[in-house]
Amino acid sequence: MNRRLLVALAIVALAVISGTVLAQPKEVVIGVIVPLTGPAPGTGQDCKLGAEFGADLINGGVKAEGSGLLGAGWNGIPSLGGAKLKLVFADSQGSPEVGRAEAERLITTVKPSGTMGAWHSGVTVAIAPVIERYRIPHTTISTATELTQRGFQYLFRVGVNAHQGGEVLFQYLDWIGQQGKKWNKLGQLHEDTAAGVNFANAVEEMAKARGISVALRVPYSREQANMDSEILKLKSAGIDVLVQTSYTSDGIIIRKTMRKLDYAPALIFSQGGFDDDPKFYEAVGDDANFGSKRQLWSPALSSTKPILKAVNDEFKRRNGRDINDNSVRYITMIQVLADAMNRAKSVESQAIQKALVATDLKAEQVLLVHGVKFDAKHDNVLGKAMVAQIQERQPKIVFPPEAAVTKPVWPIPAWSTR
Amino acid sequence: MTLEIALQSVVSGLMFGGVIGLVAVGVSLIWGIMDLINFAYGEYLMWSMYLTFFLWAGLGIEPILTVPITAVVLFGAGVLTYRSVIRPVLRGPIFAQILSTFGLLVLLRYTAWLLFRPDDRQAQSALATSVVVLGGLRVSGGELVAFAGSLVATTALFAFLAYTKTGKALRALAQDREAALALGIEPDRLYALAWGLSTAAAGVAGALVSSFMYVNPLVGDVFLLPAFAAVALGGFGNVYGAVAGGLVIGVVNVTGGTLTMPKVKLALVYLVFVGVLFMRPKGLWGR
Amino acid sequence: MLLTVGDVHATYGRFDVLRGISVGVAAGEIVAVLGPNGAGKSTLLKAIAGFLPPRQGSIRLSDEEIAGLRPSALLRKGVVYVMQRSSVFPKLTILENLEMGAYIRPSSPEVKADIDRVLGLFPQLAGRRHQRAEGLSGGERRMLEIGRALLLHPKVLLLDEPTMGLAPLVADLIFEKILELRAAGTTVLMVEQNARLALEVSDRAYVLEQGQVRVEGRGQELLTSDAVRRAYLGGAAPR
Repeated sequence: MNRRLLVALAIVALAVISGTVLAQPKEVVIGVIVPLTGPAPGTGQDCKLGAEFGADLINGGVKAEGSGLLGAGWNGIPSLGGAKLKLVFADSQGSPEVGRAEAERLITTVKPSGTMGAWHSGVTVAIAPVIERYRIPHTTISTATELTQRGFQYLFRVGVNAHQGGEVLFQYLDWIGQQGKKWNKLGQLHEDTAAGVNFANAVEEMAKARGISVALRVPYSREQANMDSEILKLKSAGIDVLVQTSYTSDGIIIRKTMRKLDYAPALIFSQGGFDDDPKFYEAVGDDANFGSKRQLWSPALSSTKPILKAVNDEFKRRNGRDINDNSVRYITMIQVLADAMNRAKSVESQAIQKALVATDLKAEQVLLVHGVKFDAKHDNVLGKAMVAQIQERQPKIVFPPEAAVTKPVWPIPAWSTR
Repeated sequence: MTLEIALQSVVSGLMFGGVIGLVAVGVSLIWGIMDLINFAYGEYLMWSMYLTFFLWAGLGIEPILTVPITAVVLFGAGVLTYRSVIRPVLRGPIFAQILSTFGLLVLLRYTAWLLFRPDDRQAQSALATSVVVLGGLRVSGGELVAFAGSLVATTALFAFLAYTKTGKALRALAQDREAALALGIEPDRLYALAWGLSTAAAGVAGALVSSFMYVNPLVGDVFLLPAFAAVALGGFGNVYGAVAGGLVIGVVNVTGGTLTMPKVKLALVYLVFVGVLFMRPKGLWGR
Repeated sequence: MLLTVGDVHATYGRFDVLRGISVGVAAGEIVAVLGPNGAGKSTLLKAIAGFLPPRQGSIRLSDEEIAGLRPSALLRKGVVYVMQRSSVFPKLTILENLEMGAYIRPSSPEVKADIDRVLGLFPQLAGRRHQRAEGLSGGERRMLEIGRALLLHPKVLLLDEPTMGLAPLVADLIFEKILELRAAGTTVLMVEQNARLALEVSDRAYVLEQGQVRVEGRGQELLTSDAVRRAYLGGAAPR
């Protein structure tokens, strides 16, 4: 009896083992490294919702047939026998050290076929060598210039880089000038990690090329309780076009300090970050209004791309909020990876990498406005930004004119009138 | 740089310095009475901020009104810490004492990390965002209340030390432990009291800053490092000097940052710190 | 005997400082403890005062065993100790120092009256009661310390070298005060380096050597004893 039981067990075990070995890949694992806790949990949450929505689109859970969107009508990745995307999230806590360790852990434990993240430029810079070492195809939206300067084979930037993001500022300033509006001095206020420093450098270069001088540059470190000297410095220098790179908590303190010290420049321009995070709006309320930001997405785009309205409505039904710059880019990154896997007909990393290099997604196929196509350095050559101004606590596209849904308020009204 | 900006920076600096002063007083009290540096002091502040945050988030209590609660809870925490951690090492080598408060720092910080995760959390307060303008000088309601609250708390502590029998005994104990013992002043209960008072000051400070500062497990450092400079400036263990040191540090921080570059403002604070130590090792108002 | 020390042994680190010492003090007596450096004089007082609990032996106050009690408990029984080094609280005022002397007594009008009485005893202190003690001279500090001790109405006052470092005239003044205290009923056990002066004011004296009692006797007898004079009075004749 005992002997029989043993034999039976052995047979069952063997069946289980061989079964797993022989089974076709029913799912493809994608690792997503985002700041779920730490200084930017609201932002990380948006990224997570975007990635989940994107995966559901690929897996057939979002009805968008006939829209022309990549993944619409799919039921898993077609060339892989309908293998479903499975997302595994890792929390970077917004810290390069934690991000690097988490990336390593994710790669070695769940063996993802592709990864994406980590939102914070500083964290992405830290994890890039890790994914390169393990040869994991990786997409990112971090803007730090250096990410695509170091010859990484497996890293692809789906979003804009610092230059592409800054470019729109100067186009906007030219256009504002043509409208007969004046400004005097351009200044920068930025946190001193990779995202802030890179963007400030890019803006400085682009300004110089246009013969504009940056009158004042104020870097700051994020962990502090008092930002009065930063704002007083900008105020006393008469900076009226302010380029600001901040994360959420410091962004909140800065906006409150601006009000307190009665500093209202004509323009505040950011590359996103604090002003994409719902927590910023919770904390400063209407004081969030009139800030401008580089924008890649707007709910109002539904007028130019009708299908987007339906998609946004579905997203809002599920998550209680509109798609924003963070969720839209994570949806798009999922599309980009799924597209590459589909064309590669494989989950083998070199094949996916090759397919990624050949990516050519048109504006109609992805949620991101302008499409995705990589250059030799793996920057998205179609990466372009618009300018949105926060009005009634919503980003509203104000530039370029052909995409604008409203007119910019220029200059930002004085605090005493708000 | 106009005069108005410079004056504003001084006012801003004093507002910030008031809070730093209260934190410095808490550090200085233990230092003065027990010759012990409490490296974990910032963590008590952090825990107080969490308490304020959760009282606000859970019960809707305005951050500033949590002061009595955080003061009492943190007083208890200080007494408990003394009895369980500090008393056993008090007779040990100085090395053991330093390690014990350092161990406390790690314990308190990473317990918070495990429980609350590293998220930044901020209690919202209408008071904090209101702006008070006086003669062209501007402060936020939150800062003003924090400044006033810090001064009230330190004044209350000073009055206690100056005028009550127990306060005098604490000072006597600080000056000559053996002589105090010979008069029947038992150190143990008074040390426990000193710990309670010191951490209660962190409790008050935590509630006060919560209206304008977010909390995360690392936030203690933001206040403790300038406070250490204030303690040195005020004379190690001199609680009165610590307040003055806090105000000076606040002004050096904000006005110094405004006059030079904001990025170097912490460096300026440490420059003053090192400069004072170099010229007057006992601190500017040291005994 | 009011205070009886019987066969007390005490150890400082690895050193046996008291090696079976026995001393007695009767009520109303002034008893001096003499001896060379390192003989164990101060240690004897510390052992009685509760600062160095004896390793063995007994210390009795009247009929009660008090060895090993904490200083605060001993104070409540009337055993009050003034240490050798200056022990005023320099940053406290003279008045605050006196208040600390009465620390173990609950605040009351009697305490205030006692403080006034002590200030009456030391007129030099009375006029400066709101000044910090750090401004006092060595003699004034001693007076403040003795005054502080008096607020506890000691049965036994333990004085460790009350005149150390004081000018002769000031030392005389301190001894005058000690005699006044005795006249008021206080029993005194004191260690003194100035043997001649000590023997003049004391009723009896013990001479210690290496943690044991070598000689004991009445003050005047010892003052004229050849052995004591040779050993501790530098051979000079009494003045």
